[in-house]
Amino acid sequence: MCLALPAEIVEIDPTLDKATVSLEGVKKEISLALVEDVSVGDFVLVHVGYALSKVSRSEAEKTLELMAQVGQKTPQIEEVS
Amino acid sequence: MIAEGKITIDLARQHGDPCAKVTIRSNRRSDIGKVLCGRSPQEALSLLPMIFSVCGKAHISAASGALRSLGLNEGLEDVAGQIVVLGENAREHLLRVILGWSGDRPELIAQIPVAQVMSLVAELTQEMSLNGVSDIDAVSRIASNLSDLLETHLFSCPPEQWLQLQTFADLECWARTGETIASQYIDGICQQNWQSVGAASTKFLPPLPLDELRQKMHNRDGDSFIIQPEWNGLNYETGPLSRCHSHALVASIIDEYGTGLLARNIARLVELAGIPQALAELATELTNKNVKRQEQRQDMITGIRGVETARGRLIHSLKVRNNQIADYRILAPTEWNFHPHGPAAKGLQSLSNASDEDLQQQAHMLIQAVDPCVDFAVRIV
Repeated sequence: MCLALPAEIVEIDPTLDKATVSLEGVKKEISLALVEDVSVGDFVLVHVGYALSKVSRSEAEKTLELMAQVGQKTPQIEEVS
Repeated sequence: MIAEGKITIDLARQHGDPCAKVTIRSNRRSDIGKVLCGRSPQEALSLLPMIFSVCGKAHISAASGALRSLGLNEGLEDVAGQIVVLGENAREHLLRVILGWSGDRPELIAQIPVAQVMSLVAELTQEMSLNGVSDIDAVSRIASNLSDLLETHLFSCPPEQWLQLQTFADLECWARTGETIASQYIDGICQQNWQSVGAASTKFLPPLPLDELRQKMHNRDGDSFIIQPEWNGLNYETGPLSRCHSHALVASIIDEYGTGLLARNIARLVELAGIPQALAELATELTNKNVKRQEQRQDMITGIRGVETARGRLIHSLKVRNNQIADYRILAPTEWNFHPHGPAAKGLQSLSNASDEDLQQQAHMLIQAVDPCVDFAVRIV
């Protein structure tokens, strides 16, 4: 499933149009090319290295709570030869 | 830790054959539907937008169609849902072209009105749901604006005119003289003579019998089927190439170069170019009539619905018992396309005679042509 997870912006580099986001304490660099008017402390939906849209803190918390209910899935591995 | 989900692909060189072995690992979530179990159908529908913000309208359309078939949901008729999903498909195709084809040239992205692209779905959704009355003129206006955007930023001519290209020679001429992200990317593939990179035999996903599909998704092996779907022991692909392979230009390229990079990327452009016209035609079918809730007759019922998203066919199947979701399964198109024996794996296996650098680039381009929305990493080992 393609999921976009909400993450909090903790740092912005305006010259590169990039931001550092934090999701459960894990930091990741993303592009801000698709969103406007975001600042540190905002929550954005992140997918494949891009911020897709801004969401409120309460929306972000609800979404993360739902995702947490699903829990972890063990990765599967299959080889093709 | 909550993860977005990623596909990791190892390409192993053996005996001079650079991709004799392809290993695909996935930690994508396939069990997300379980979070909806135990909830009422209406609550499930209200939670879907929070869970699925990528192709969200397609997920909602699939869920709501499955529930409507059970008489457990009411709302605007199917055509309104189709319009919103088409708009979403246009946005997804455009985003993947803008982000995936601009390479290391951010100035190309800067030329595109990204805000207009991102607001496309919201505009259509608003027109479809405002007091339950659809504004037919507004939908036609949005379709016309989309057509203008595609003409200016991708095709250098009206999309319906671009769709008249029929042969590789026509396409080459367009690509050579164009100055858009799309023409330059296609020209780059031709200049490098990479048209057939990743070409391999493939089967296009046909319409599947829904009763049998529902059984496969909910039976004891349902999880395995959803993670690595096969049909009668065969692997299939779903997406733009599967839907547009009979278009004259795509068919001509497949004849000449197979189902490689060029055919896959042109199929995406063909599908995108056809969306403004499809939106305008669907707008004329809007009747502003709500589909009324039907009477539910059984305690335990199952509903299933497929929707064609930009990436391919998305299936939602659910069981409802006493107005509560008892089981909810979702089959995403990526799982067909990145099956260990599916089209991505076969295409990657076919790459040959390339340096490590070219191989890495070809693999990236091929994966993005098969499914540009998936998070992935490629390692040459």
